[in-house]
Amino acid sequence: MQTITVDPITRLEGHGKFDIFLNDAGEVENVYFQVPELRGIEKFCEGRPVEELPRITQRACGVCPGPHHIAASKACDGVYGVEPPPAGKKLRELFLNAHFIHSHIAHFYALAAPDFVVGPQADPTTRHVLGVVAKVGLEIGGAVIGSRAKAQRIQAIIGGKATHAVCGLPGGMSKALTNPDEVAEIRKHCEDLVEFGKFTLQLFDDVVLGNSAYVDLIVNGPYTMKTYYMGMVDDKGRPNFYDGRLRVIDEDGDEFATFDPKKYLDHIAEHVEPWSYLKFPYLKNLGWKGLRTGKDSGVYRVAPLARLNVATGMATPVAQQAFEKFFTVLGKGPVHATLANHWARVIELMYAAERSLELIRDPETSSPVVRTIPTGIVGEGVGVIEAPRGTLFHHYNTDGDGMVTRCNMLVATGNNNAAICMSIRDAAKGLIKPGVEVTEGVLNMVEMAFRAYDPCFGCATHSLPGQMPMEVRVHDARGVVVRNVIR
Amino acid sequence: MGRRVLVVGVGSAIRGDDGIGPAVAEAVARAGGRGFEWTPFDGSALDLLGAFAGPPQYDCCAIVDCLANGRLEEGEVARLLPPDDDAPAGGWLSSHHAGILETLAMARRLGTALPADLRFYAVGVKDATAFGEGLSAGLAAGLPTIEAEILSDLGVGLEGGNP
Repeated sequence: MQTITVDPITRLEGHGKFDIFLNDAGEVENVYFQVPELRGIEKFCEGRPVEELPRITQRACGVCPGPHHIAASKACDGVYGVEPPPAGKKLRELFLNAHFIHSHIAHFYALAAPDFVVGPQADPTTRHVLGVVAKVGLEIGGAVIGSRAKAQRIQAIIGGKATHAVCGLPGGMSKALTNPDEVAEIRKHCEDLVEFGKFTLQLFDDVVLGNSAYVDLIVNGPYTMKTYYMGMVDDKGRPNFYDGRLRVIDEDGDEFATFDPKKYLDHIAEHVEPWSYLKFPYLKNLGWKGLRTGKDSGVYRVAPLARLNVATGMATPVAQQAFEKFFTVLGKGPVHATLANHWARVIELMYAAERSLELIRDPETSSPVVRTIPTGIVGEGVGVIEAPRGTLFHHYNTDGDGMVTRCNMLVATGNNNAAICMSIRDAAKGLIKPGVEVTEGVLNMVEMAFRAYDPCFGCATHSLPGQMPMEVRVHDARGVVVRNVIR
Repeated sequence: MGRRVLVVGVGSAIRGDDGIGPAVAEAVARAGGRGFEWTPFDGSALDLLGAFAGPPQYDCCAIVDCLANGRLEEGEVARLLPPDDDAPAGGWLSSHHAGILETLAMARRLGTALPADLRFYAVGVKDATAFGEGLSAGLAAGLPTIEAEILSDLGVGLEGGNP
């Protein structure tokens, strides 16, 4: 049996590898996708004061800290049994939407666009963000950098810092947005970001949808998979990243469940495989049936494509137009084409920009009352939001003094673990055939299967499961293995 | 108008002495006075690109980080010289692989207006991995000396403030 290994995989957040096993006929027998990171954040949160967790858990990642900070803050609300005032919630939502903006910009332009603008099988020395800029122009490159900076500036004003904020507290926020100069600055940035969102939608139209080969790849390539989908929606069934109910639909688009996110343990369970540090969440009422599709399989997906699939529409006008076009072009939902995540991501960028402008224009967002001071303790709290990469759950238990006794984080990318494994396997089976040379370009096209999910494995691998077989290879700066430790 | 200096403090505030970079950056910027700003850097390299987006803002950028390989005594300051060849600017395996040099190389390739005067300072620490807030006692006691050395190298007099 021949093995093809891609280690490490590229253009994602975090680290991963996959091994493709070919049988004697040269066909793909199986593919194992593994996440070799081991983080342990859930474990070392134990014993800490729970109000520290918004600042600690966001250190899981330097790319996705904002969502962790907000989810942790919501969980702390639950621990102390307090509800933030409206301005506190709106500031948190504005902070979170600003994070969506720069996160989606970074993924689309730096991680995904090289495959579509430069080409999936282009020379790897040009198939990166600078190759994209060489094709679209320095001016657009500057606009990308500048737009990310504006979104992060919004986060810095609200959160104290753009990365690893310090604003979330049990019951609300540490600082109100009452400075008129800051309000004006945020408003100007939001207006600019709305325009950049429109520009990005148009760019996607011109470069991707205007290229029939790319459309064919999205619709007919080996990247289609029928699964269940989950996302957070408001009372009108539209995505809201900060609050709402969780809606799950089946592969035909019929509603499977809608529930209070705090009751997630009634609906989601986790399966463990011995060959990966990342657990496999699945729909509890269907059960774990393995890495396969089928209406009886508990595998579900989250993130942009899932959020659009479960939604009845978008809550802002330009995003709504884009949503309608999405389902007109790709067909009545649910859309099962995994690469359509990239388009859905750009639509979410548009929504986040429009929603941010709505929030900063709302006078209530600038109210000085941003926190409800806790007066008692419940000892358990669940905070659930939508992060750029999917639904994010923070669940804390504390003692009577608010010291953490248990921390469980079901992280966005973790929800997609099973689907990512299956997508890589299906792409490998579709692209690697007997007699076909397995070039670097072909392997990149297999990588495109996970890249569409915008995974963050730094965030997803946070649990310390205890004693398990482990091999640690220590490399020096030149990549030479200098020590091998096996347990 | 005086010289505009951005001091970038690299490091995490919850990993003990790894936080020396941001601590020094804040101290230097405060003592430097008018024209000095500082920013922490403990995330994606793309975020540092944003600091230089738009029209040129800074005449000088000083980047401060800790060095824990034993080549510097605790609290000792060294000014590092960047490599002669340009670091790989776009061939990252993931955004986690984009460090300071890769980010600056990318900024140049994107036509970003980087300050002409770029300086790299390393501060010796014993351990940059301990989980906790605050600097170790020895390093904290040496902070004023570290601050003074960097300010002196930046041409700021003992009385403080931009020349």
